[in-house]
Amino acid sequence: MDSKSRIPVWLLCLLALTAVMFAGVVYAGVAMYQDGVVDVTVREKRPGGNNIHIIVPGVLVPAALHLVPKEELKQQLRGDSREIEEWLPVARIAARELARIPDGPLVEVDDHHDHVRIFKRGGVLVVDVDDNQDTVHISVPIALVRSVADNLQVSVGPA
Amino acid sequence: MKRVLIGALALVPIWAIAATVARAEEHTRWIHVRVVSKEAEGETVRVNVPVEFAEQVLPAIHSHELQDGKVKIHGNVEGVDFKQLYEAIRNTPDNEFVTVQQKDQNIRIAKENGFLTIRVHQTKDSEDVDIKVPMPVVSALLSSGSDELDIVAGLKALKSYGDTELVTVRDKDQTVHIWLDSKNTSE
Repeated sequence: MDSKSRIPVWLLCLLALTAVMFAGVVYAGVAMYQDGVVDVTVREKRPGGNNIHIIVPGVLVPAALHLVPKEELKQQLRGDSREIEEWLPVARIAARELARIPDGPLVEVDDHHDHVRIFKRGGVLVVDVDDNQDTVHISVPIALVRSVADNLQVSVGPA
Repeated sequence: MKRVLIGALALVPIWAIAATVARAEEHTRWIHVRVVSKEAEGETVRVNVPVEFAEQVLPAIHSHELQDGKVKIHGNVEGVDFKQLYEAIRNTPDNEFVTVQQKDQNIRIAKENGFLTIRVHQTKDSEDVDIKVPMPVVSALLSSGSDELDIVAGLKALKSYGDTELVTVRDKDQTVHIWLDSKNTSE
């Protein structure tokens, strides 16, 4: 074979690296799309109050859970946070069913000062709280709630 | 002509998906609870829950009186066979079964058009309670033990009903309204 027609090794490496990076970006995009993002916004109403806006890719939450030592998590859930363990099966079923129900308001509480809304929009559970002091907005992908509940259940063992 | 035909054929799956989604939403039955306080700065609480959601989640809750989707009946129920009582009512024509008229309260329990209705009016606290439950739902609620109500069975039976007023309580402090329909909002 004519050596002049060969593709240089450095170009092959560059192509391979580009392909890996592209695959990584695509995978990250797909993971972000599937798990969505957790969006938390807190605005203090007092003059000079804080505005906090946190966006966390949903894919990071189960990953972070995997970093917590399993024994420690198990002890915590069976010890001080026993109530969480008791309600985990309910949370898992609720998350599964939430994914199936149509969009709409689930809970609304209004009084003279406070307004609370919990509703489902698309695959996201949204909590909005507006009171005298703060405005809080939290949106969590329902698939993520389910995934976290499943992970915690696996950590503590069968219900 | 061919283009129109291909265009029309292309629209069929879109229409099928839209129709399926619309039918699924239409068939979802929602239980609505609305509590409105009568105090000057009182609160209003609205809860909207699909029947299927409650049906799936309730059996998983094990808390106090609610176990496996069933609630224990409290009070002096010893010696009262609710199932037998229900059977007796079910097999009789529409009628008023209990009418109590006292100085400070009136109670009326009746079977009307396939519904068990309970009305309580207390003059002292100006409280009115209206409960209207389809007879098959009463049967499902009593399908478990004699001292408990099977809420999940009741919900399953309730799903086949159209818009239904279930409970209305009015007193001097608040109004509580529980009803069933196919809308996902309580307005």
